Amino acid sequence: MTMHVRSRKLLVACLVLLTAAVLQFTGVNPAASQTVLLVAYESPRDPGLDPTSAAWDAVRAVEVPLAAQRGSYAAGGGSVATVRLKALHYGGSLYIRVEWTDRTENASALRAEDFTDAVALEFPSRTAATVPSVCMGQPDAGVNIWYWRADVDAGNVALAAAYPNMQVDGYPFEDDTFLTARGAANPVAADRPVQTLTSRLFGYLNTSPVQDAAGKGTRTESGWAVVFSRTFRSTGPDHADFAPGARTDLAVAVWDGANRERDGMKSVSQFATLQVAAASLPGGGGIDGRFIALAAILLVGLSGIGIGLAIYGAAERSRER
Amino acid sequence: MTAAIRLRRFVAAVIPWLACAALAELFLLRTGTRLAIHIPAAEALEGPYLVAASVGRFAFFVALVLAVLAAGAALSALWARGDAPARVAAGLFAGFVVIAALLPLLPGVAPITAGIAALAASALAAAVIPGRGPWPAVPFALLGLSLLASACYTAVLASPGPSAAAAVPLLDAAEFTGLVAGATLPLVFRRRPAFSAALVAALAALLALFVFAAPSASLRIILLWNGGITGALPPLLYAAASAGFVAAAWEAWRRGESRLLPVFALLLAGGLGLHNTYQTLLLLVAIAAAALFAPLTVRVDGRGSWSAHVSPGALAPSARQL
Repeated sequence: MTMHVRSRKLLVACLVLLTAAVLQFTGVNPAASQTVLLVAYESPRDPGLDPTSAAWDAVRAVEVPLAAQRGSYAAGGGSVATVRLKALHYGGSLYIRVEWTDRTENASALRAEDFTDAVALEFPSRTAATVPSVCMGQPDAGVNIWYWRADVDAGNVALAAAYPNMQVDGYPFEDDTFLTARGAANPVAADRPVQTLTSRLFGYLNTSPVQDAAGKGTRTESGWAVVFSRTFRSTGPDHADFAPGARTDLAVAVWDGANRERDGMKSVSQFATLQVAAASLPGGGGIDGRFIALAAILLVGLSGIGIGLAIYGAAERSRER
Repeated sequence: MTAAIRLRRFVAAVIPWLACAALAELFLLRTGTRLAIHIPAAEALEGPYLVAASVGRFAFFVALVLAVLAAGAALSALWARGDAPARVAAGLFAGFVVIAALLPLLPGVAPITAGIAALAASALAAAVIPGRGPWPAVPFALLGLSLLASACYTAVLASPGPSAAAAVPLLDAAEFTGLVAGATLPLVFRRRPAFSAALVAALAALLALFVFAAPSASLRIILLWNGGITGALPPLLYAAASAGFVAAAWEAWRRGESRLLPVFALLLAGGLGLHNTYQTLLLLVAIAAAALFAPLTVRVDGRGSWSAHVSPGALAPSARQL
């Protein structure tokens, strides 16, 4: 009898370990994130890179809270409280629109005392074995970052714009041999408003050899709206991949130039979940309002049941006494 | 032996292993790998780091499988118990398990998952009452409230209109009620904690006070990510929660209710707030186990009906086998 019980316990233990091993090696994770969810439905038309495109009107925004980055030096930020995210996909490309409030426009960093407004999106790389550290990834789970800068997007690269009285005696060379920053592939000098970066730890941020994320920003009444775009599949090492029906994580960082924010001095979010939906954009956009109403009714109604049960339990107990 | 007793014994056998796996996952995967990235010259430690991460990930999957097993057995045991609070709790718990399993396939059900998790926690807290009385259910009911506030926060973020900044008080409310739940955890025993428990609780409170009063940014990020603890509330609250937690664990050990120790470990691994369905499942399994592990007697008719609390020494032989 004891032997029988012991062998049954051993069998259960083996089955548990085997199931866990299968889940680990196949990468199937039945647990799901319960964080903020951003759904990218298929758009009926090309949203393009224009943040004011009408394609975004039907998409419901998701608010993502930000906090000052205090995990690593240089620490700081915290002047931007939230960002509003929208996402779509069209023709095999993912589009993400980020909007935030920033009363001051800082689109030039030519002077040493100026800092640009900027925003970045962070995704786990396709090779990530787990959800990476939101602080620039970890050795077994890298991150792919798309970094947009207002100064490069605005084309404010001519020193004369910052120093109107400057004088240059003469500098006739215009090829990259003499524009040394560009010649050395400095990403800021490349006039590309969105840089594609990878990282496997803070302090280990790299410019990716494949620069395939695009973007464009525009000033709104209250701040900035920026659209990022990239094809689902990328050839870049440690880049993120997307696919209809698949989900990944997404974090946001915002720099407020007026607050002298740069480097690690930024407002950051935790990871939200990005779902690339296989379905087309529903009429109302995003999550159906009726669905939320249903959830609210469930919540309130069943809370009542819970409280009623508690009272019932107490009454039952006192009766037994 | 009735089905209720068999299921309860199964839960009692699985829970300690689940707690071990969950703690291994918490300390290796969630804490160890995330602390290690702050160590200078991390490249030199990449080998051990990857091994620890891999073992931690395996512990996660083991904990996940055990949690599903424990959940299935616990909700069946609650249903078999027969009283109304236990049956409603079992129904809501089953609802959570089903919807959580659908979540990876149907992300639109996320608000319902959050809501039903909160309701299941409240109902499970109510199911604690018939066995242990109303006061021991208080910390679990507070945990249910904490999950409810987190669920409302998730719903607000997903809905048009109010901004996320306006929803921040909900997060504070979730953390506050969660901390009060920790502080009131000794109520589970319905008796004043012993002097020794008060002493270790005071030490834990001092340590927590020191940690939360100090400007340690990295530690706060780790606590936020691993346990949903922001550190934004007054340090005294964290000290009180730590004291309550440690006092409850000490009392469980001292009173010979060691079956509650893995329950507290699961509450620790589950953390505050809604992170993922795995951590929420740990919390629900913990509360269900607290409801099932009440020091109860079983009526001689063996129908699985429960009587009021009695001291362990007075337990009927059939109940002592549980």
